[in-house]
Amino acid sequence: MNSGLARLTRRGLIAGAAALWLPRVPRAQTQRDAPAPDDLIKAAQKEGGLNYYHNSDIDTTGTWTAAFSKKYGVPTKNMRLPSYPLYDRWLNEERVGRHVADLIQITDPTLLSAAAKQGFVADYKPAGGAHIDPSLKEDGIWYTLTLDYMGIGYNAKKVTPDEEKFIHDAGYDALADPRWKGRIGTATPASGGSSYAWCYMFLHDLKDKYGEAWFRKIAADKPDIYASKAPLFERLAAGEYAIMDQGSQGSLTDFFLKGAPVRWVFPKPTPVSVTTQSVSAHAPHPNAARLFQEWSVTAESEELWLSLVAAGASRPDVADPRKAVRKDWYAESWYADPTELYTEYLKAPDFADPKKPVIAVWNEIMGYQGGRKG
Amino acid sequence: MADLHVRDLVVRYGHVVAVDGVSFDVAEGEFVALLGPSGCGKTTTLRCIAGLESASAGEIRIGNDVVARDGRETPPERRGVNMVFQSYAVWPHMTVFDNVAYGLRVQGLPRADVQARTDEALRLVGLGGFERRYGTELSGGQQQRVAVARAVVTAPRLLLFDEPLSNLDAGLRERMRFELVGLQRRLGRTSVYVTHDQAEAMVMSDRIILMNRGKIVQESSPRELYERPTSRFAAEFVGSANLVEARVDGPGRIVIGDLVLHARSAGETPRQSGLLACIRPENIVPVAETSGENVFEARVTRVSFLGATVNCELAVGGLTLRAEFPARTRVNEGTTLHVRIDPAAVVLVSDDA
Amino acid sequence: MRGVSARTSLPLILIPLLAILVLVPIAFMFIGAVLSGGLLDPATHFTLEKLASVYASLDYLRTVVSTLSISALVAVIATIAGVLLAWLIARTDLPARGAMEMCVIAPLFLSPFVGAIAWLILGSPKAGLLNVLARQVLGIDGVLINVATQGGIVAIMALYFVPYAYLTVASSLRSIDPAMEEASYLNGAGVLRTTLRVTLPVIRPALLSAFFFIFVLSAGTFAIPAVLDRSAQVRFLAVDVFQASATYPIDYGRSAAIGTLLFWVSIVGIAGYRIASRAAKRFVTVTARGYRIRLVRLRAWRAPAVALVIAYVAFAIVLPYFALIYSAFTRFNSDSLFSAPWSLTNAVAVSQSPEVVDSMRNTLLVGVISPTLCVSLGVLIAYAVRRLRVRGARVLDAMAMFPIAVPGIVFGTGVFWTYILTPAYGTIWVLVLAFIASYLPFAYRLSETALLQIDRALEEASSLCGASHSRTAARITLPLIRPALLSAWVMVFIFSVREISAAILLTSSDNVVLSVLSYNYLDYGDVPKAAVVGLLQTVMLAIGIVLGRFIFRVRLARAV
Repeated sequence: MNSGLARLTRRGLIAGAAALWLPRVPRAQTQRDAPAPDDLIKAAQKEGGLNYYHNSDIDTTGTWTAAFSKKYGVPTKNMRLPSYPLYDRWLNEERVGRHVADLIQITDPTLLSAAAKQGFVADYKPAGGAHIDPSLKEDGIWYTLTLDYMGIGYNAKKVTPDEEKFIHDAGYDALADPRWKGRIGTATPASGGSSYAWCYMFLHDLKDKYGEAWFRKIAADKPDIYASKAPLFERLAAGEYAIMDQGSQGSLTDFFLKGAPVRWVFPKPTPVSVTTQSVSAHAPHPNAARLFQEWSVTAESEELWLSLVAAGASRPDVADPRKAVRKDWYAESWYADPTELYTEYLKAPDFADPKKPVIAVWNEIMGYQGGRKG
Repeated sequence: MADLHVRDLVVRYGHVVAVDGVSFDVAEGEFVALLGPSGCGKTTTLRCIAGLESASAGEIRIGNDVVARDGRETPPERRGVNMVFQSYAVWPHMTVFDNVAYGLRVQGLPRADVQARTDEALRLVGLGGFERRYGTELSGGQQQRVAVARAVVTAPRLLLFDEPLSNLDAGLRERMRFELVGLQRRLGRTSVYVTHDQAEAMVMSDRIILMNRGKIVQESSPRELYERPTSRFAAEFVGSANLVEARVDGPGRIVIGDLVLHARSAGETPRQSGLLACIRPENIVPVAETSGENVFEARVTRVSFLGATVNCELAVGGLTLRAEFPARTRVNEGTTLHVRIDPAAVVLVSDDA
Repeated sequence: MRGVSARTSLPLILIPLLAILVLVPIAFMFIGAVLSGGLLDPATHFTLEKLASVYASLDYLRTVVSTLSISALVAVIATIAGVLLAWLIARTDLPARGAMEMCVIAPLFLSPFVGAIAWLILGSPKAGLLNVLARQVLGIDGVLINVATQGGIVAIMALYFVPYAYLTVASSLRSIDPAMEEASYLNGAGVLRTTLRVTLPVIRPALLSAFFFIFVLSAGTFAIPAVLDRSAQVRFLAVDVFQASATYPIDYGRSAAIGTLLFWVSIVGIAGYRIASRAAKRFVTVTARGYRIRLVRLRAWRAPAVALVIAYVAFAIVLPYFALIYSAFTRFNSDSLFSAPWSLTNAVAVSQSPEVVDSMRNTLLVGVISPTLCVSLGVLIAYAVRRLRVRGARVLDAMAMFPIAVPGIVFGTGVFWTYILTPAYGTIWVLVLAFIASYLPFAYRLSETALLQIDRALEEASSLCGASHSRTAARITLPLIRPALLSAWVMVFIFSVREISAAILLTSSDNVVLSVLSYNYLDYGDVPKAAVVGLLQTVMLAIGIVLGRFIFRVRLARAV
C-alpha cells in the first residue's frame, strides 16, 4: 500500500487491453525508445524466465509483466509482499546465497541505495533511464517507475461546501483546523514508507513552517489513528470520518472510480511516494533481469502502467492517456494536478536514520502507544 | 494346554510392593482361583502371567517355556494365553463375529477355519445369531459371553479370568458361574480365575489360592479352606466364623471364655499364645441332653429367621457366639437351651491381625 | 522382547526429527533476541540491548500485565460461552443440535485477520454498518457499538475462541457417565443444581484446559488487536512482535526479544494446561460400554436457549459474513445500507486472476498434506509416549507441546532461517513443514487425550489374542481413536488453510496460498478483493469440514 498505485478497475482493464492488443498505440510510443539490443533479448530468452519481487497491486503487476512476457517471450513469476518485509526477504536470501529474485521493486529507494553499498544491486543503466529526472533515480542503481502524489483526502458527503472550499484554499493548515475535531483520520508513520515520508517532510524539511506544533493541532482534533493504510482509505470512503492526511492519489482514485464520494487536493509542496526498481546483483537470470529493467523504463511500459492505475510517470514524456481526454477525475472541477513536488527525502542520507525520531515524536504528539519501537 | 509355575514372583511399583514373593503351581487342566480382597495383588499376579505387567523378580513358566525371568519377558502375544477381562474389553468398532474371529485371523487361519471355529465358539457361549451385532448393542451378560468366546477360540494354553462376573447382576452372576465352570470342564483348559467373591471361588475352582497384602495366605481345596483355615484372615474372609481367643489347656483341650472345650486340633498346635478358636456358626447345634462333651447351656439373646436357617446370638460362658440352626428349630429370644460344639469342627488359628 | 527395541529406537528417530522441526526454529528466536539486526547482516553484532529494552523496562511490564489480563479475560469469556453452548447442544433437547454445532464452530472458518476487517466494517463508530442501521432504522443517535475499544477487542477475540472451548468441553460433556448426573437427580437435585454441583465439577479439568489453551492462543494473536485498535490504547505483546517485524522500521532483534517474553507468558499458560489435563485423567470415563446420554428437557427455557444460540450465531457468523459479502459485492463500503453500490466487479476480477487459481491449488495441497502429516506425527508421538512408554517420553512430550508457546510470526522467522538453504525453501513444502511444527501440539494433544480415554483392556485383549504391537495399533487402537484423529485432522486443516503470519514470511511466487493473497490485497488497500478471497477460503474450509463431518458421522453411526 506504500506506493499507492491504484487498483485494476474494469475501465482500467479495458484500457490495458487496448494498450496490449491494439498495436497502434504502443508503436507510436516505442518510437521514442530505441529497441532493446538483440543479443540481450536472445540471452534473456535463453534463460527462460524471471523472478520479480514487487510490492504493487497483484493484478495490475500481473497484467503489466504479462505485456513484457508477450513482447519478449520471457515468462515472469511475481511475488508480492509489503515493501519492508519484501526488502528484508530479498536481503536475507542474498546474504545466505539463496539467489531467487532477479529484480526488486519497492517504494523506499533509500533501502536500495543501502543494499547497493553492500553489493547486492547490479550496476546497470537502462537506456530509458536517461529520460528520468535525476532526483528520481540513482543512476545504475535504482530507477523510479511511477509516482504517487499525497495530499488531503476528504469525503464530499461529510463536509459542507464551505468546508470543501476551505480545504482547497487553506493548504496544509486546513488539516490543523479545530473544526475537524472527531472528524479526521490518519495513519501512523510506522504504517509504511509513504506515511513515514509524509511525516518526515513536516517534521524536517518543513519543520519551521509546520513542525511539531502543526501535528499538535491535529492531535487536538483527536484523529482516528489507523495502524495500517488499507482501512484508513476504506473508512474515508465509507464516511467514518471526513478528512485525512497522507491522501494518496492512487488509493483515492480507486475509490473515486468505484463511485465513492472521495475527493482530494494537493497543497504545496506535494510529497511523492515512488515505486522504484533495481536489478539484483546475483540475479539468477541476469540477462532477463536487465532486459526487464530496460523495458520497465520505456515509454511503452510506463504508459501501460498509467493506463492501468492512477499514477504519475517518472518520464516527463509519458502522460496518463486519461488526462489528455479529460476523463475520470481529470474531468472534475475540484481536481488539480500537483504543482510542486517534494522528493528531497529520496536522497536524504539520514532519512531512515533511527536516530531521527520521526515515529517516536509522532507517537508522543498523538498520544499513540502502538509500534513502541524503543 | 499346559501347566503353570510361578516362583517367587515380586512386583514393585516404586516403594509399593504389590506382589511379594508369590509361588504356586497350576496343574494341566486345573481350575485355580486367586481369591482375596481388593489390593491383595491377585490381579497383578494374573497380569504378570498374561505378560501385561512386568515382574520385578521371580520366574513364570508356562509348560516348558519360561515366559518371565530376570526382567526378560515374553510379550503377551507370544505366550499362548488368553484372558477374559473385568470390563469385557469387547471392541466397540467390531461386530461380535469380528471380535471373536480376531485371534484366529491373527494366526492367519484360512477363512473357512475362522468361520467354523468362530461359529463354534459363539454357539458354545450361546451367542449364535448375534454375529452381526456390534459390541455396544449387547447387554452386559452378552458382552461377557463375547469376551469368553474370544478368549477360548484361540485354544490358549492357559485361560485367565480377571473378575469376569463382577459387573453382572446377582442372578446372572450365579448362572454364569455354572456356565463358565461347565465350559471349562468341557474344554479342560488350565485356568486361573481372579475374584474377590469367596462364594464364586468356592463354587468354581479345584483349588483356591487365598492372597492378602501381596502374599499367599493359604492354598487348598475349597472345602479345606473352609473347614481348616490356617489364619484369622482365612477364617474371616471365607464364610462366617466365631473367632474367640483360646488357650490350650491340655491335649485336645482348650479354654475359651469360661468354657473348657474339646478340640481335636488342639494337640496339633504347639503354640500357646496368640491363638484363636474358629467355630463356624453351623457347627453349634441345639441338643436335647443337658450334659456331655462340649455341651453347654446358652441363652438366646437375638434371633433372625432367614428361611432355610435361623441365626441366633447366644450368650455362652461369658462369650457371645453366633449360631446357625436349621429352620425347624424353635427358639425364642430370652430362652435358654443347650448346644453342642462339634470337637472336630473347632479349628485353632493364629491371630495374625 | 521386541518391545524393548522399539522403546529405544523410536525416540532415536523422533527426538532428532522434533529437534529440527520444532527446536531449531525456536532457537533462532532466542538467537535473534541477542542480535542487533538481521541474522547475516554484516553490521549485526551481539547485544543485550534488545532484551534489556524489553525485560528491564517498566513500560514493558505494563504491556505484559495488559497482555496477561486481556488474554485471561478473553479466555474466561470464551470458556463460559463455550461451556454454555456445549451444554445446551450436548446435553439438552435444544432443536436442530447438529446444525447448531456447525454454527458454533463456524467462526473457525474465518481467519482472524479477515474477521477483524469484517468487524471494522460492522462496528466502527460512525460508518459501521451496525451503527448505520441503528441510525437509519431505529433512529438511535450516537454509537451503538464500537469495536475499536478495549472492550470491543476483548469481545471479538472471545467470539473467535468460543469454538475452541466448545470443542474441548463438548467432547468431555458427552463422555460423562450419565449415572453421575442421574444419582444427583435421584438425590433430589434439579437440573440447575445437578449441572452446577455435578456436571461442571466433573468436567472442570476440561474447562481449565480450555481456559489455558485459549489463554495461550489469544496471547499469540496479533491480527484482531492490530486491525481494530485504532488509537493503540491496548497494549498487547503479539501486536508489538508483529509491528517490530513487519512494519517500518523492521527490528528483528526487538521482535525476537518481545517474542521470548511472549514465550514465557505462553509457557506459564501451557504449564497450567498440562496440570489441568493431567487432572482430567482422573475422570476417565470412556470404556467399551456404551452410555446413553440423558437429555435435559429445557421446557420453558427452550425459547431463551434458542435465542441465546441464535444471538451467538448472529454475532459470530451472520454479521461478519454479511460484512464480507457486502464488501465483496459492492464497489466500495459506504455508510448507506439501502443504496449500496452492489457490483460483481470484484468477484469477476478475482475469478479472472491467475494468482487465485494458483493459490487455491496451493492452499488445497497444503491444507491436505499438512494435517495428514501433522496428525500422523502427533499420533506416533502420543503412542510412543503413552503406549510404548519409550525412553525420553518426557522430552518428546515437552517438545511436541513447545510450538504452541511461540507466536506464529516469530516461529515463521525461525522456520525461514531453518530451511532457507534446503530444497524445500520457496515451495509449498516449507509451509507444510512450518504448519506441521506449529500445529503439532494440537494433533499430539488430541491423540494423547484419545489414547488416555481408551480402556487399556481393549488393547491388552488384542495382545492376548496373539496380535503384535503394530497389529494392535492398526486394528484396535487407531480405529478406536479415529474420531479424535479426524477432529484433529479437521482442526489442523482449518489452521493450515487460514494461517497467515508464518505463511507471509515463507511465501514465494510458487507457494502463494489464499491467506497470503488476501493479506496482500488487503495490504494494498483492496478490501473488496480481500473479502472475495476470504470468502473463497471460507468455502474451501466449509467443504473440508462438511466432508470431515460426513465421514465422521458415517463411522459414528456404524460402530462407536
